[in-house]
Amino acid sequence: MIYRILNIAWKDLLHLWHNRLLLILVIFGAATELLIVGWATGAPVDDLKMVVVDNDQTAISEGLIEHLRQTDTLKLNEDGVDVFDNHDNEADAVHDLFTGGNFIFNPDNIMLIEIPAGFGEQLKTGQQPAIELTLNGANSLASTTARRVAEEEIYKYGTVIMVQHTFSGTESTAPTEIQILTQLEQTQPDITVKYNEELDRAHYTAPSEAAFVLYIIAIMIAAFMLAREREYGTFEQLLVMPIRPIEIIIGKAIPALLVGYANFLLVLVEMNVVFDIPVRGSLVLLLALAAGYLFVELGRGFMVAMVSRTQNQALLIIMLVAFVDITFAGYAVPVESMPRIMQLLSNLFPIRHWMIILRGILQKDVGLDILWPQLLWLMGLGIIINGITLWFFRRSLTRQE
Amino acid sequence: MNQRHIYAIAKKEWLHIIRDPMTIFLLAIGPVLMLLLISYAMATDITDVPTVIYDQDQSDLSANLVTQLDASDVLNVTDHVNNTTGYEDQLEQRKARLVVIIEDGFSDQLTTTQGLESIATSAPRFSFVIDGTDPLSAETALETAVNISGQFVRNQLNTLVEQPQTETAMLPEQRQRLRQQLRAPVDIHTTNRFNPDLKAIWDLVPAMIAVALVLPGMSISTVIARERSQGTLETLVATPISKHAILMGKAFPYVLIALLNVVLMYIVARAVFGVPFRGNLLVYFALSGLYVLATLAIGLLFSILIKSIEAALWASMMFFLFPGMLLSGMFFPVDVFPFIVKLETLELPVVSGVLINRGMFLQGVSVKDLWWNILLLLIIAVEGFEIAGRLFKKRIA
Repeated sequence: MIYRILNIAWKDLLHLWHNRLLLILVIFGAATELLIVGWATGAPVDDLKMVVVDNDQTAISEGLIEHLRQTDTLKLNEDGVDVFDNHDNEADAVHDLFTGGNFIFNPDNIMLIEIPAGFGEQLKTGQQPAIELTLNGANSLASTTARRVAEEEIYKYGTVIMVQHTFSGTESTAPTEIQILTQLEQTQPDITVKYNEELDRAHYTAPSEAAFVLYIIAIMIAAFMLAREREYGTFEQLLVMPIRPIEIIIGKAIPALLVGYANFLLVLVEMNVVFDIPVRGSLVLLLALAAGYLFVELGRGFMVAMVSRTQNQALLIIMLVAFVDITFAGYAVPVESMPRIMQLLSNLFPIRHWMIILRGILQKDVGLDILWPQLLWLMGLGIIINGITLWFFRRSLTRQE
Repeated sequence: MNQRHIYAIAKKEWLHIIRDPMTIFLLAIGPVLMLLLISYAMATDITDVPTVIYDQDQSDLSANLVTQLDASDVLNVTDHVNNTTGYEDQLEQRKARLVVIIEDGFSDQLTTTQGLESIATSAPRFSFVIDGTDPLSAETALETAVNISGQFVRNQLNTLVEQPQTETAMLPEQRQRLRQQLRAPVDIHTTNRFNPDLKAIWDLVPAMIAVALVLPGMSISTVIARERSQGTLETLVATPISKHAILMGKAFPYVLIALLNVVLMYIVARAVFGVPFRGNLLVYFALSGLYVLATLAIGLLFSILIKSIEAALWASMMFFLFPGMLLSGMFFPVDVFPFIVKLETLELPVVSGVLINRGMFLQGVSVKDLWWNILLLLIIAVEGFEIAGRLFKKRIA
């Protein structure tokens, strides 16, 4: 039996080897992808363009603009004021400010800040002047970040000015800016961030990408290898050979396992070296569970191949399946925030459990004592999925007769 | 180029597609299905972040704060623990993302005048622990928790400062300073243009339309490889039809299908998801056509460059699927990417596609505002077909 399995595996490995472009694409494509995505998303949301319309024109309002400008997040667009002044209607002005940028040399303005006349005077006497922030809601992540930073900085600056000017003691004992800010800082609650202390986005997207790499390789190689046989009509030959369906499946799984594993290791090294995301938990456990996960997804890949007649169809089905999988992996939105029914459904998608395992071992250093439910789910799903695939095989066997 | 030739090839390709009902079904319905499924699941704003409370104070006031935290949409109090290992375990098991620790003496600090003095100079007696593995939802949860608790503390102190017994217990200037500290220096009003409630679905659906439209592009990336593997490529080339005409003809049915997709997705976006459309509809369809042509041009290029079906599929997957999700600006703003990555996104039509769709749906932009993206798509489409045609000749000879 082992001999027959190895024969099938050898045949598919030869296929892969003869199609070297595919092999290169599979192995290095994923690694490059991780690099670009990690790099792009790990970059802090910086240099968001803001336009400040200053109706006050005092030292205090100019001080505020200077203060906002010194943050890394915000960048002052001085031309924007002219655009604003050239319109009679404020809504039109905002529209013109927030559209018409291009993403590479001249990104859109994200925020408009309007400082009212009398701002400085009201702030000095503690009368709570009003500031208007208008945000570019078409770019929600950037505008949320801009709003958070602007509110925080305006608040800090306002406190310093207010406290300094309403201070009743002598000039020499008046608190300095640093003293006021330190006190402000001290009266904030403590916040501890665990597992990703810097709240670095790359520490989120890079492991996700690593999980997707293993996923997509498993499902695609399995689906294409089998769909290819079906498209070229060699599947029938496989079936009439004195080999049992389970042996075909295992034999075909081996090359995908090898490629998937090689890739996963490459990605792990890359994460450690380039993005400084070490494996905090047990590497052996991670690799063992990765192999188990690969088997589950391979089964799904074979299933896709069994319902499609050509490789093109397999690709289209995988596109649909992959988008749904990536959704339920909890990548863009945490699964806890999804509608209840979706949360329950998400358990049926192996990648959900794989993502929890990968993140748990990689970032939280947890072991099987905590991850056992995920392991059970994966085992259950693996048995069911591979069982269905086997049934498909048997059915096509009896149909041939 | 002969129009009849293009038509003949288009008809042949059309027959290929239509004789394969599964493919036509997947191509025609696929993008709409993707839009529906994914938007429904992903466009949920971050809500119900599991929150665990470690309440050492055990007072009415702390229970009150917990109720207020639980009342927000973002947080969902799932459990109470009574020691540190309790919440550490919950964090590891992912049963908690946020932990709120209310220290002993919390209510004393907020209800007595001695407490008033301490809160003016030191931190309030509660703190937060957050699981940072998912920074975006962590930031949202933290912001909500900090805001609610800050408001709670301020309200509590405000009533305390104004009470008559405080007057006797405190010096007037002390009281004045506290009043000042409790009031925000500036009153900030925030408006969100284009998307007043910052609804995630308004943001996501237009972007998703562009991303889902890559399916025809991916599908076309195998057409030449298929002819080659079935040995019909020689026959095709031997006909007196020019190479460009062959490519145009092959792309034509896909353009039709993609335009059908655009119409269907537009209807779904408006009717099912209630996303406003503020641009010019005719311009929108014209630009969508251009976007589709650009993706098809790249698909064709892959199809000619890469000889085997598998490799072509894999390449188009790598080019269309992941960048579509991650680099298109759907989740992360392209504006802030490092310059090198921005340069790399120039060749991705999906970036322009997302901008055009968002601009047309939410911002009501005109052609003038989008000139840069239109130019980019035009270059990709024209150059893509041009290079594909030239390479096609060479490869055959």
